[in-house]
Amino acid sequence: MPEIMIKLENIQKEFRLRGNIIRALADVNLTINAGEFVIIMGPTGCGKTTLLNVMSGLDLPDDGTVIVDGEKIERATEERLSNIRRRKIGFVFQDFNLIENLTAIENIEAVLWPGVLRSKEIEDRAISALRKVDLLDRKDNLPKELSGGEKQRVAIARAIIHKPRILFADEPTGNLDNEAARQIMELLKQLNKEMGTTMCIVTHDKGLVKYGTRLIEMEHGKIVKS
Amino acid sequence: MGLRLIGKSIKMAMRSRRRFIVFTLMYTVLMAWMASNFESFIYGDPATRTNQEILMLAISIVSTLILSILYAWIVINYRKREIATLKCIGYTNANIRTIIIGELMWVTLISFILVAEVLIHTTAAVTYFYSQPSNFPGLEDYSIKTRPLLSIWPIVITLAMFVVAQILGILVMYSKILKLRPIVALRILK
Repeated sequence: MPEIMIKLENIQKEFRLRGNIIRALADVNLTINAGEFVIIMGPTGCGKTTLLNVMSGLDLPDDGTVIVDGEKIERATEERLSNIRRRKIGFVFQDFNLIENLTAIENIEAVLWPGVLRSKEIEDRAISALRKVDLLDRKDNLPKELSGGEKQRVAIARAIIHKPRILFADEPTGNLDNEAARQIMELLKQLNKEMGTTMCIVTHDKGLVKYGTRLIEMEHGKIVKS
Repeated sequence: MGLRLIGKSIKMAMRSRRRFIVFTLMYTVLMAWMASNFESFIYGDPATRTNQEILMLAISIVSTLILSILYAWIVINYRKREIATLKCIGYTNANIRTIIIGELMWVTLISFILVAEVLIHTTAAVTYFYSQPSNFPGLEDYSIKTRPLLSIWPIVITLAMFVVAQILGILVMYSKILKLRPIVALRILK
């Protein structure tokens, strides 16, 4: 029986916008197994980013249960969520979100700075992550000296340095040209195979569906295809 | 762990050059001013102390507090996205507070060193100037008692005041760190 990585039960999430209540997630039930490469698609405003936020603990549901790698997180404190993120979750953002004052390698190492590992070990892990994304030669460059594709590869290296169980990515190719987007998706696919990391990718680009092992389609806050 | 984060925060502060230079210079000027106000307050003659001297000291203390809060506010507000990203990658509020304390304390320390350095050299220059024999008619016997421009206690008290002001600034702004949700990191820059 496959190991369950994420389990959502009866998730409800509403937003208030200019006096109107918008139902972002309506009674969502979903199970994602370990090692899956899930692509979440749907039109703008269908709730796919909200779903990702709820699954990753960035946002809390109004109602329902969220279980990530065996831990219930829907009512977890900020401290506990930080702890879960540090141990189990990696994030890749559309805007890369690299820290401008830090070099590529420092951006990656930053994940482990609050931990107990020695500086040398942190550096070794960062170098290994940079090697995985084939960007070792740019390790001392600041983000402003990198192209969009390179920035995203640094962001991916940052997301995997702590060997997360799950990697969440919100439109990871949204700011990239076609070739860079293809390279990023190939890289994520390769990491999924090599490391066994469960991938949850939100995108509106139909061309990325082929990289996934499972497609989840959303409409009006509901999963219409899974 | 805490020391490592403080070390990294110093590195990050030094790399945000404009903010670092502007605030270090502002702190340096304010520190020198506050120290000189303390000097006249502590060593001046209480009988001749004017309300204006007391007012100046009070203004310098209040300015320090305002500047410290302003700096903490700028550090947190201009780095909201960065702080949110750090939360996304597993930083706790305490980790982020350590980084901001590191940056603020570093600016205070550098300003203090600058003030001490400038005052030591100014004192040396003034002492040298007045110790030279004078050829001016009527001033041949002129001599001054060599005394530093600022004594040690006003400088130490000023540094302590700045450290306290920084801590207050951080405490005032800490609620902003607590309230900042990691989801802010997902907002797309236009």
